[in-house]
Amino acid sequence: MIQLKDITRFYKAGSVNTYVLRRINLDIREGEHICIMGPSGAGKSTLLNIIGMLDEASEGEYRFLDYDVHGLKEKQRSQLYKEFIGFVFQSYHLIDELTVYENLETPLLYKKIKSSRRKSMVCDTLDRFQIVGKKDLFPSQLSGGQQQLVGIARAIIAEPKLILADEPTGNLHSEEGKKIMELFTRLNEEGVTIIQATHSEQNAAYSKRIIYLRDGWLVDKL
Amino acid sequence: MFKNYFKVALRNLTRQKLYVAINVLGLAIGLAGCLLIIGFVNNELTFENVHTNKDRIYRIDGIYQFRGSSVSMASIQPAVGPAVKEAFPEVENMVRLRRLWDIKAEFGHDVSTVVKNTFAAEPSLFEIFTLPLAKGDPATALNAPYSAVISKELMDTYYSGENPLGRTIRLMDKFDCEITGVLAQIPVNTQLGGNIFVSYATLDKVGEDVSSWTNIFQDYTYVLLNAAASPKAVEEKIPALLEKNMGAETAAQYQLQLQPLKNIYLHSNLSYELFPRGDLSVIYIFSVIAVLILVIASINFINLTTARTGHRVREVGVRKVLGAFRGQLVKQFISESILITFIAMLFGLVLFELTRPLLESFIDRQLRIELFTDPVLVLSMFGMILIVGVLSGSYPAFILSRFQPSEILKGTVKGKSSRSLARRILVVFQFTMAVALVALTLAVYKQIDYSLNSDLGYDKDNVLLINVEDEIPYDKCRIIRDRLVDTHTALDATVSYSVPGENRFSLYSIRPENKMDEEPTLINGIAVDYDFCSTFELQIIEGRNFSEENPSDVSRSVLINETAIKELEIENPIGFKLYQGNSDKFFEVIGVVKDFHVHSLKNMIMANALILDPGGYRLIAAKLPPGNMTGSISQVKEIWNDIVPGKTLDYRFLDDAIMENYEKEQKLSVLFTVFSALAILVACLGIFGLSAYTAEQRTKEIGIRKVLGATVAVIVKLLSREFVVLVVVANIIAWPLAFLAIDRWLEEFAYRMHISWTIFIIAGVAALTVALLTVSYQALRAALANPVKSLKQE
Repeated sequence: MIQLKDITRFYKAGSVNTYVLRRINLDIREGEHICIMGPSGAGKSTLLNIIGMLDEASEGEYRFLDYDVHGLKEKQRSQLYKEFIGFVFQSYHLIDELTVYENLETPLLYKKIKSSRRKSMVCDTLDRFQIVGKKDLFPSQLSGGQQQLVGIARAIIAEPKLILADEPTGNLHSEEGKKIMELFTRLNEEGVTIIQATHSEQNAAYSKRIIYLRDGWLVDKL
Repeated sequence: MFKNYFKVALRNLTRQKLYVAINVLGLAIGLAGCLLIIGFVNNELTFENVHTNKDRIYRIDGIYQFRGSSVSMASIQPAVGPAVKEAFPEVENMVRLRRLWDIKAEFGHDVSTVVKNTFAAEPSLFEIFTLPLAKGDPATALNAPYSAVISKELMDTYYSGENPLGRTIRLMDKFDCEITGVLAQIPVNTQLGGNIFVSYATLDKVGEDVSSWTNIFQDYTYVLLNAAASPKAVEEKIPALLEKNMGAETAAQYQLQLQPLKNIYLHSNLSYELFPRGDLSVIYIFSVIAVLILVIASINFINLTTARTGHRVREVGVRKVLGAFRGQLVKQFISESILITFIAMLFGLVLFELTRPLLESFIDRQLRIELFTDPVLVLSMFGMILIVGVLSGSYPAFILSRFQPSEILKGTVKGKSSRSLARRILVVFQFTMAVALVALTLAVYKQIDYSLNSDLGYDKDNVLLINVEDEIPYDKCRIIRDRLVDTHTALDATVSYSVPGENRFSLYSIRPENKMDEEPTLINGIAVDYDFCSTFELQIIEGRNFSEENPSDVSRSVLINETAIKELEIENPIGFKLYQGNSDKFFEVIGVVKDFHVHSLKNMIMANALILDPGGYRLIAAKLPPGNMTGSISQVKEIWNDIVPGKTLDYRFLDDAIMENYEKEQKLSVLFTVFSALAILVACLGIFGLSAYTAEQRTKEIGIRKVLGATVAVIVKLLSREFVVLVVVANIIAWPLAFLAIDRWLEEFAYRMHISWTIFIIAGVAALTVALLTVSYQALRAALANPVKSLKQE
């Protein structure tokens, strides 16, 4: 599903290049549940952003499904991730001005899904995540765990093939975090590919494959 | 999708109260001003639209050649109308209107009054123009001699609750008319209209001239052409008609042309216009100001929205990640700004309704502004919402939608003001406008002050003008004059035709004795008596004043001014003869007065003659002692009632008469004051909001600085400096602009004040002070905040 070949990412700071990722080679098959681990600043988020096409590699090749991502225009790229990828963030990134229901609805709006279909999709998802009673609340009225639940619900509502989660439990109590990880496992069992970045060993235990990053290099062990 | 945008927009608005309040208030002011002005301009441009036949009605105007000069007049000879209708098949109908001026009317029961705007009109008036009658039959109302149609106002005043038809009114103490009709309420945007229309047939009966081919001061003649006719073709046939009736030689002096009815109000500028005209320059000034105010308000909108990008970038990032294209975000932000503009429009409408009566009282007439039914106004309302919404929404929209989601979500973008150059330029622009307007306002005031208070060459203070017209015989006037002086009620007094500064004079046709072989020229003359020079303290620099010991002075001796000597190239003025017209009679110069301003300062001083003429008087001018004016006036009243009992004393002061010359400027100054205040207010609203956001953005910096030991003063200075610099830059740009505008405006005056630099300094300091006060509120608040709080986060 995903092939990364010699992916390098650096930022220009004056005349010096600061490397964040160095020559990453990675193959990810459909249906995997992968965990990217590493200390702060190791390049976990950057790698996720590149996979999620929010960021571009400075060098290297990236194939997603059958597309050469590095050769696509911005509009085509966003068309691609809109179609196949859902994002989950550490700080949830719900839109504060929208209710739970409306937050879930937003990606469907951008996909131009018809109103009646949209309604049933949102209702199904609310049901599935058992948050029907919260649908008219605003993010600020929810606990962190509940917000992340909504964040994940929003990520999967458009039925993506891949979920990218950047420290999804970083702001949560361990109890809430456990629930979220169980949810990921369930989703993975249903066939969704999941890649998550984390520094929690506990979370990593849920995944089938662990990748280690240190100072931008892919390493075997930390 | 739009529902989603709309929801986010509304919720955003309720959350950002200060920001929304500033935006909405500023825009509402701008929009209300614009609506008022669009309404006013629309009113002016749709004049005469009420007449069904408006496109086919023309007025016949005259261009007359006399002694080499040509005069264009709105009135023509009474014989032309019927002849034109008779001779040309294109002319479907014709009406002659004759102005009767302000006439005395008695409505029975001893109720008499002077009625303004009275006319004699032919019956076809009601066929050509759309002037419905509330009572009476338009087909017959003006047919018979001695019949009259009155206005609804007159009916309501004098016949309230009764039927006026068949009642008799006595006009001008001369003849009785039967009321045969009452006009319905006349729409405000037509010039046509009046209080009494007497049937034209009456004129003939009372001995007025209705068939002269040469008397050009008579009739205003309107024709209705049939639909296929070309006005040019009709015009071209007129000379032949005139020749047939007047003979070729005379006819050559009279040229007639057709002027479309719709052009008359704004574009016709002939002598003896029948009705008050609109003023195109006012329309231009109004329109420019409307656009300026709206631009200033829109700039606030742009500035505040871009300044607030920090609050919105996260949303932008999330939306992009969720699959929003840039175009969709742009659409979202633009619909948001349209929504704000719409809300502002609602407030604007309230402001509009509140200020409309002020505008109407200011221009002293009613306007027809039907906001919700006139398609032009409805369209411009929606147009304004769209244009302002889209224009002021698009810049922030493009800025906001340009951020990369990965940067935003990482937290590297904070909407920091690296893009604030545009914002600075816009603030400078706002204050440039504001400062220029203030300077212009000050200049208008100063020029008015200069016009009233500079040395006019005569003494204008405490001069009472008593109107006598020709109702009181000359000797009675002299008796009043003498009594005023003898009783020390007045320091001096005189009987004359007009007074300096009143802009009134007669034209005398003369041939100076050194130019006897040339055609006579015209010279301004004022009929005066012996005390004119002393009352107004005119200086006689050569020769002598008129004297009662010299009976031959009457109607024969003149005083001329210095300009006259120059213009007529007179070498030895005393004894110089000015022959009257082509006759042997002459005026003899007995003295020279120092130049004084007969007119307002808008006109150059012209050659002028003072003629001792007991026949041509209009008023008594009395120079009252300074101090107790009410006392002096009541003394004047006593004397008046004693000598001419039963007559009402009609008086005013010379200062006020002079002031009337500058009515337009006075109004302009009021207008400019209002608009420059608005411009400053809206601009300050803008920097108030901006400074609030700058302070907010720099909360952390301020906290650190305070921890490091910065004082409140240092921080206030830090936060205000940027705005002060901007306002100073604005001043530097505004001054030359304002100078040019003032210079241009002053061209209307023949005598101008010196444009003083203090005007600009005052405008600049005023703008700076107001701006500083506005900004320092926010700066102080930020500086006084507890740094522990601002540093706690992150």
